[in-house]
Amino acid sequence: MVKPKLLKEYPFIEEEHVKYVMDEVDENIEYAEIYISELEGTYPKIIQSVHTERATTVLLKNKKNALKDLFDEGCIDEVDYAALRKEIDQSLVNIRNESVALEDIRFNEVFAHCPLFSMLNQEELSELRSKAKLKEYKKGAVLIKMGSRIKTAIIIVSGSVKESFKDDDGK
Amino acid sequence: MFHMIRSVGCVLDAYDLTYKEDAKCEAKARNALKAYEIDESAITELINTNFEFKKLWFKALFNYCCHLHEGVEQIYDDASVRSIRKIAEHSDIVSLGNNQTFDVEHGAFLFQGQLEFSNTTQVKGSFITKPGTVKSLAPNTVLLNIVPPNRRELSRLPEREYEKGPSQ
Repeated sequence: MVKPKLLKEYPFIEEEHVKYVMDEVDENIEYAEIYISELEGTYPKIIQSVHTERATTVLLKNKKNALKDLFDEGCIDEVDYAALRKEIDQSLVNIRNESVALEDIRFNEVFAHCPLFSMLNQEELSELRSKAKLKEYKKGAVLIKMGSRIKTAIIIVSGSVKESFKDDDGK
Repeated sequence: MFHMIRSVGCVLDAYDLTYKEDAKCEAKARNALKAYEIDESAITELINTNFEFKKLWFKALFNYCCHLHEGVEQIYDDASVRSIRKIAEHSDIVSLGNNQTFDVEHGAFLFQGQLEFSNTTQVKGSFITKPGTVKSLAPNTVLLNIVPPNRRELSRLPEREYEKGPSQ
């Protein structure tokens, strides 16, 4: 479906090139589907939460559009429109706040699979969660600088790190 | 220089965090990565309240302790990273109160506190290299009671990625 549209909109692109790009897109979609299905097996709660959040957001946005149509057509007055719209906006804010709970699920899933922390009970995990921050680093970023004082335990969630040690003699 | 590749689930430089010392290592991201940073007070609290966690935490430190403090080779002749990891897995973490005694069978490593052994005082970072009775001279002494792993089992261990890198 995308291919004829592309050829129509950009007639100067050769069909062979479009085919090449589409093949790559199809391959990427295939990889993404495999990744999602693997993720679904490993972290079902996360996937479920993501799907629920997306579905609810789409429903609320549709509701908001329908409400505007009704207002434009004169079916509801301005006061009712404002009140109903405020209600929907509040629901959307609530969903965004629910994402914080999603982060908690991710934290628990990660730590449940980490041998050092897997024996902790729910209370201990919650305490740990309250003192944890998820950070992202680019390739080559320095996580620990030699000679600096470490004040946080850094636990890798994804990716890998090269640690280089020196002893007191600098060896 | 001693290199290690750390992947998912690893705690970086747990040694300096535990002893509140300046970092003796540098850690660089090999690729784009995500990591949780947990305040050290949360880890200290867990070490003080959950003995199972304390055992695993100190066992995880052992490899780097062996690199910093010589002596493991006097207890177990194969002091490679792989065998040290296996020794830590097989050994027990023992926590002693003041004046408490403990019989060391093969050897031990002192993580924290003080010990009296053969009329000498052993401090943090010491290896007890022969069998004997140790007496704690501090209220919170932690040691690794070394139990050498079975040699045959050791030879069957697959080589890990970080052990293929530059040697110590």
